[in-house]
Amino acid sequence: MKKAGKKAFGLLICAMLLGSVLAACSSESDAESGGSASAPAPASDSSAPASASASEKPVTIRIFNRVNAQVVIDDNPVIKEAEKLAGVKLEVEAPPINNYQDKLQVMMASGDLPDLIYNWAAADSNMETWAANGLLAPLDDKIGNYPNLMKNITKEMWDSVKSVNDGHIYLIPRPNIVNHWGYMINQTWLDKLGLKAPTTLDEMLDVCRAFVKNDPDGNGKPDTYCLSFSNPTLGNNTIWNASNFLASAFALPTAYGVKDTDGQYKLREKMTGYLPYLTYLKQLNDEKLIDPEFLINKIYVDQDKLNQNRVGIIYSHQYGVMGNLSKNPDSDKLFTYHAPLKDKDGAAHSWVGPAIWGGWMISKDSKNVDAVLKFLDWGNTPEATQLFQLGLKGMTYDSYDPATRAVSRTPDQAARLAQTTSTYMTVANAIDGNASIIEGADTPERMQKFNDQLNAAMQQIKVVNVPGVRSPKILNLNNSIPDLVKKKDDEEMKYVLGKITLEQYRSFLEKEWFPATADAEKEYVDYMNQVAP
Amino acid sequence: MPSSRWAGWKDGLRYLNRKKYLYLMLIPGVAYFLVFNYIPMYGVVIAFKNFNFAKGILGSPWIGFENFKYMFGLSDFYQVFWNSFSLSLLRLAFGFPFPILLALLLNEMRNRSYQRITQTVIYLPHFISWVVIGGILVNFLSPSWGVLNLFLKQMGFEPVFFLADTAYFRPLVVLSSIWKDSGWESIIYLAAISSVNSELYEAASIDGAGRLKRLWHVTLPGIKSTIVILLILRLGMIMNNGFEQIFVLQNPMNLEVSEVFETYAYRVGILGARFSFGATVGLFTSVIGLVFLLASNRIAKWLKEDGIW
Amino acid sequence: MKIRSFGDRLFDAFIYTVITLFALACLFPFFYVASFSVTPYAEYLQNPLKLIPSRLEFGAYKQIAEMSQMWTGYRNTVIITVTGVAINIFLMLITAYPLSKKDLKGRNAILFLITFTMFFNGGLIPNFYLVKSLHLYNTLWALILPGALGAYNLLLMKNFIGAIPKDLEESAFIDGANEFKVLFRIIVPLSKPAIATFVIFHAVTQWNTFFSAIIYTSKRTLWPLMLILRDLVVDDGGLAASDLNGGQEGVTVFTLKMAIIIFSTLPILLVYPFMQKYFMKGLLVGSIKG
Repeated sequence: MKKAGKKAFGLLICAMLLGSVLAACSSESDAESGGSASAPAPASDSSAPASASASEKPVTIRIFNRVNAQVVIDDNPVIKEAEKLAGVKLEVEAPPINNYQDKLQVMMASGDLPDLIYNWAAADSNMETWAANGLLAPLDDKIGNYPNLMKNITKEMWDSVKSVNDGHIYLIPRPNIVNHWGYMINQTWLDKLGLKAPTTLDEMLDVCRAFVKNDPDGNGKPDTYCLSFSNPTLGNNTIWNASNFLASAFALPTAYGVKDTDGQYKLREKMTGYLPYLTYLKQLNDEKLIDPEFLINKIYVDQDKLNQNRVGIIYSHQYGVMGNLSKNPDSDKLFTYHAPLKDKDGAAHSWVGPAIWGGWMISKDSKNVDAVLKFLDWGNTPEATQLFQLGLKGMTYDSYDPATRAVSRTPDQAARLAQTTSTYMTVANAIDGNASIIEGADTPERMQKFNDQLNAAMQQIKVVNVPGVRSPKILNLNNSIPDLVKKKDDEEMKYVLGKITLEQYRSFLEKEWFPATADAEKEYVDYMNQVAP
Repeated sequence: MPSSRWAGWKDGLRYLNRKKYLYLMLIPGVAYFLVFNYIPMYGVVIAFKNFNFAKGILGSPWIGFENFKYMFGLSDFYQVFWNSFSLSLLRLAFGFPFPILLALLLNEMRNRSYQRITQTVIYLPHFISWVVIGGILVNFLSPSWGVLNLFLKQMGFEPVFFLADTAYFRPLVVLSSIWKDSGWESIIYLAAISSVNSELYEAASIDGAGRLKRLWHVTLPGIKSTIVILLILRLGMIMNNGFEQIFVLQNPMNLEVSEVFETYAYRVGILGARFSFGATVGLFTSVIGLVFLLASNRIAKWLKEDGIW
Repeated sequence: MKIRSFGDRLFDAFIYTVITLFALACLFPFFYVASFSVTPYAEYLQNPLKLIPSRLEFGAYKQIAEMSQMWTGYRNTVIITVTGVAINIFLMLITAYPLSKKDLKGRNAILFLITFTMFFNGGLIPNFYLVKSLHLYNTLWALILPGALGAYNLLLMKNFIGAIPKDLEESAFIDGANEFKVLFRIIVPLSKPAIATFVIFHAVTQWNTFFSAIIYTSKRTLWPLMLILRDLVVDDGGLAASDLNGGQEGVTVFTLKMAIIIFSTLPILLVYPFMQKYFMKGLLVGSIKG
């Protein structure tokens, strides 16, 4: 009996502690908020009253954007200039790039949404969920009123962001630079060996053999490989990351939305060029021409290998050589950009999907949907893009010629640029597919080189515009059959590495992969036949 | 009967009065855990719900064990389970004793300044993030440009593709985490050693005990309770391997052995946009961890050791 | 002092070999980073293993020092580290001491309550709500208070305090001291090694804070250093993109990354040697005789 009493007493103690806590809870929060006032937080001058909808006052737009950590947001002169030019007041919250997604999810779940929200993955499954949960304003009826939006954002771009659930538009695409994926090659190696940049598969093999066996870097050691890939994400391994320059020779598009050579839409693994492409990679690997790590290089590692004379060829778009200057100050002297390889009909394919870099969503609760759209409309003018990409004249650049896109900066201005603005600040990152400047091309000679190489490549390139594929099942295999996607990835690599035979791989495709994806393929084919018959 | 119960209460109140300062001291700490850990804990239910952004955590519809069914239904789930468990077990077997050994050896060094310097040096890697360490490691082990393979080639061996060979992955993870963190982890043992009663050493010296003997009979027993509690806490993390280290060393060719719960939740949950999936995986690993912790605590008590309580 | 035996010397040789080899291995990554932060990039490209640069190039550090957000980051990090450690140690002591009393009623329940928090937490969203409703959002307190007291270190501290011989306390109680007095007059001085350890542990945790800053603040002026560091180092897309024709002569992304790591970890590294003397005192008694 006494024991029972003691036990009850023990419980009471716990309950009392709990009670004291709950009692303290309110006072504690007071104490802490009192403390927070004395915390070294800067006085916020941006908390304009929400009721400031008086007619003459500019509308305040709260923006949630994804901006690299180097840019200082508070008192940012570029944002101030944008406010002036667009006639609005901007309150920008910008988590850094790496953890943007975490904050975005929390914010979307928290219920207190800003007016304008950037979504990096454009019309992805997150956007679909938010739209279906009623967080986003549908914009279909309004966008027609904004001429710059209609002009700078193509029909393909709009189509690519329509909700797959209800067909509405909830996201304004952020137009991006149109890239033509080809390759970047070590020109000094070519010159030393007296070779020309390859344009066909056979020439590629010849150059590769020379790059590996003839000591192109002249260090006397057989330590070079011909080419490399990078950036595996599961279900989309390195073999398919921007490897257009090789796949082009097999008329095998690395993204969905393109017909096969017989004029039919089909699953990539069923396309005519699919197995021959893998077999070609297998040959490169068997002859030890390709970097043995080509299947597992993380992003930029191929670029490091190129810069360190370990490989001679990597994939690249037209801006790659000059962009690489930030990693290798001699990039423009060492490397050149070239078109993808030609297929047997002589076509070097550049498959160009809708060039968008995520997009902007407007909260359903926003009281200023029209003002926000007006701001986005301004954001799609050359004036806005120049402001965000160049900064302010006198502060971050000295002179600028829109016709040649040449810009000049003093060292002081260049140093200030990184803290003032970046491409991440743009509303639209390109006007008609072009940025305001060519990154890295900061001298007339470099500008000349860039233009020469681009023009030479464009003469060979056959541009194919690819519509945005809004067929959820084919894009969502990673979620619906993650195990099998992983397995297919694995088998694909095993074949390329010679661990299984072509027959074994084919039988895997036929027995496991095709049946499991039949449903998704049908939906995709039906969709494509509707969009681009 | 009521009177005896009342006697119990009266005893209790007297007890409370006697220990009032101790209970007073406990209030802030307990309050802290209730506010910062228990109030938000309702979020756990997300694992049993179909999260709706507009309705929030509490308003979202229940879906019972759907998320768990999906998780258990994935055929690679068992592979992931085994990978997580076996990797963690290997780390426990090799990574757990190493800091203890390190602390004991450091303690036996006679040269004071050398001891100070080495102590400071071995904790340095803890401050370099896995992204950087992993980068260096991947680079070093590379068959195309890694130092280790250049060395192997010079010695006339075939280069080894360490990070693509499933046989090397686990040893690599264990070794690299020893490399990075055991110096740091030895700090706690050093603190424990320095708390050992110095009279015991003197007594042992007088008895003529050599260094090894003293180490065995004085130092080790002196830090035993620290070892036990760290071991219990470690067993509570039996399903955890940490995200960053695995993620930087993982690649499609070693995925078969390198996919653990943390990376799995990332791949299927985040990349696959299953909002609750991470919570589901987290809950699952937590329950297993808690079971391991409770069991090991019970065993410790049974062996007459100080457990957590 | 007696003549040292052969076995004793062998033992010494073993210790010195193992520790030296391990220390060299541990020095390597830090040395690598430090070395390349001052190596001209052209040299790195020629030989990525050349750890001794021919000349020192401090351009990267100059560039970092010119970033104003680095200095606000420093300030925030120092504030959250110092305040956080003070709060943490105080809370740990007053909580661990009563919990180290094995006969205290309700102790086991509280210990279970605390242990439980190691395994289950509500996730980001409830924590976000909590911070908002406590009016901590957008203050540095949001980077200090959540996480000011953790179960893991608390349990260890309890264990350390529990190992202190009871007779020392007893005599104080007989002299009429209450538990507060005993805690601060007797337990605290005897727990110096443990306190020093947890100062280091928590200081490093606070110094490395970055994630809570993303969730609990919306202003860049409140960002700690590590958040900026991570964004610049983890994915160099950020650095490269902001480099639009900018940057200093001779400084490349790689060099800059290495310099940022050194710049942001050096101060916290200095805490350890400072705290080291609190372990050494005990060690001295342990091994110098013999």
